[in-house]
Amino acid sequence: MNFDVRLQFAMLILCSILVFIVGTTGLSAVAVIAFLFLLSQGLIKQAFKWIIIFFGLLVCSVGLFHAPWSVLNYLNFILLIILRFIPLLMVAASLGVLPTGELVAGLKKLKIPESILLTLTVALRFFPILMDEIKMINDSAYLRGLSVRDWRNWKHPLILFEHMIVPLLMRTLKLVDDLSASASTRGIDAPGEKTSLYQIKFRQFDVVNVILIGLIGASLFL
Amino acid sequence: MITLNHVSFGYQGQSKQLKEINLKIKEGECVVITGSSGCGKTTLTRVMNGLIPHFYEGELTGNVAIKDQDTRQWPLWKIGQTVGSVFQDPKSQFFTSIVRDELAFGMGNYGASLNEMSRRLSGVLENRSLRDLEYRSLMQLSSGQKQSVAVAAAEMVQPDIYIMDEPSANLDMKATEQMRRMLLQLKEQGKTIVIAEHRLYYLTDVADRIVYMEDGRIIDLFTPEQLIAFSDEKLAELGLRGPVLTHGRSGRAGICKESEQRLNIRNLSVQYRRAKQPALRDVNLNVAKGEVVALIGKNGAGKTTLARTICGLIGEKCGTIAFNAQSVPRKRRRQQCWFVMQDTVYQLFTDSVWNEIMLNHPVTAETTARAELLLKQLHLWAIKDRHPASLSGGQKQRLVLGVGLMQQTDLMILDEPTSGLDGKNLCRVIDQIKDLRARGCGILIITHDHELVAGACDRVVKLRDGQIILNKKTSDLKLATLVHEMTNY
Repeated sequence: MNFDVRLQFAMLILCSILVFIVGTTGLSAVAVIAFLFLLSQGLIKQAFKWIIIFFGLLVCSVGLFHAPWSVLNYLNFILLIILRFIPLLMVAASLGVLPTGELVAGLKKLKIPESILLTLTVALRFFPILMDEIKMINDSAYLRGLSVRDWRNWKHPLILFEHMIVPLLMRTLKLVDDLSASASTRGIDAPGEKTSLYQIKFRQFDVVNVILIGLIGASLFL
Repeated sequence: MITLNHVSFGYQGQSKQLKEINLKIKEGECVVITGSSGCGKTTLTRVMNGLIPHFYEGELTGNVAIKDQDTRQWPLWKIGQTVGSVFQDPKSQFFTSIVRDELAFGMGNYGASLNEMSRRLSGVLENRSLRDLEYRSLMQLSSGQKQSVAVAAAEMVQPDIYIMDEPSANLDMKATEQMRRMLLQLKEQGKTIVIAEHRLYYLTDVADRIVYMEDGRIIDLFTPEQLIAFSDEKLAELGLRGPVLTHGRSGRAGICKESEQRLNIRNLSVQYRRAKQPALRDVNLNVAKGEVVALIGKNGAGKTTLARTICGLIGEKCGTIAFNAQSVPRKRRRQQCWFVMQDTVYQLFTDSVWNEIMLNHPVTAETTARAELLLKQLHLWAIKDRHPASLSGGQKQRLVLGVGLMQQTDLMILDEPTSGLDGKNLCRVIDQIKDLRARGCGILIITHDHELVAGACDRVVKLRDGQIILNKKTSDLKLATLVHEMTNY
């Protein structure tokens, strides 16, 4: 069971503001709330994975803070930035497992214009394909000894880049063309209101999310 | 239902793809359009589902009418309510992440009510036995399941006409059989169906008429009975694939007698990280010099895993892989074998045929001479300055083969080299394989194509759940047995 998409977005936006203004204690609180947020939706594996990463890095960062060498302090700075992004990733992870249909229906309810929704629909669909394509290209690059994993190829980074981008562009051009052709045969530009299988409604379960949002807001005062 | 009157069409800036097409398709009729690659089949389907002239620009003359209405006056989205389309590559026709969303996508675009949507959804899920897959991610489905979803998604809108462009191109024989049953069911419901296809055997009891095209024109019309009665010579002349599974090319004559081994695999096991079951278990396989081995089995049986392990793309858990009787560690394997992927676009990295073949080779008199000879043998010399992306499918495939030959590899692995090819090009690939064999390469072919196995392979190796369950000479197998092995896993 997952929370109302609208509330999830509210959570994400609030969280993205908070992680940059709260202190370390506050940040830990935000991470714990994000952990509860995932847990209450049954995303147990994800929840534990992220919270362990968060506190692991936190311990490292505290350790580095006491280190006397300045090089490590720079490292610590990078670590702190990463640390601040983790609660955000946690909330986003919950949106990531939503079926795209539900996500789009939720955004529609938020009165997001149709043209943006359309772009989002195609983009969401396209990213996994793109990852797939890149994997295929990497494989064939490996077979020809052009792989990015081989350090010798980094002597000519531009050529390396070209060998990645040329096949990717060729494939993408064709896929985009096919995708949009198929979309237009399925009425994507039909006028009038589009409907969805998902009814976005506030349910009792969503009260949990409201409480979590309240809590996350309260972490500002920690 | 569909009437085409003196229809001609050329894509923008290109020569005419369709010339003077006249065709009347009645309600409830199933028409198959066939002909060699580039004959205009796909273009003709695009004219019928309105993509031409609404999506693909170009010059369209003549009249195209669907239900007596000119398609030019109909907006494309409205045509979509009457004409359902299914395309070749499932990858390029899905818009959502899970099966139920995908099925609802079309109806949602037309603003159907939630009640109506759920009612039809459960009907279609039941009818297409997709109930178990309702919440599954589309990315995880097999190609057969994906194509079932594509047909089901078209059904949701309840169109009267179905237009399909090579729906079986990516399917194995079992999934093709499923496709046949789906088509029969649609036909029973009185739907009008138009299919552009190379594979004809599964359509003989679905089709009412077969339209044969050549160079943008309709040359001939025949019934399935006439097609089945064609002699092998006539089929070869038309460049068609065999319409029946019971006879056709079979029993390869030249059986490999070489004893020199190109590839030896001993007790190979492979397990993916986080997988409970090993992907390959205790596989033993030999490929001799000049031997052609077909690797068959259903998707997920381990064919691709085996090929990828041989190339070194995946590491083995245990076992050895030896080339020319010498065990080779994973990192050096790619230098000894070459993998021709199903989609060769991924394997071309440079801006001309010549640069492609010379990539990774120092420019010396010896390499240039060898490259020139190879390109001439592969009939690519005349186009050596062209961009690889501008080549035809067959030319790309030959170029990728050439890249492998340039490396002087001992083993060639071909992944589905004949998917989506017509009879004429199938023969060309078979000739190409014979040529490879004459060079002394060992050849391993992953395939679902019974005509390729019967026409070019010395031995058939069948995998199930990561284990070899059949390893037989093709000449010992009757065509019917072969077909049976390839249809039943």
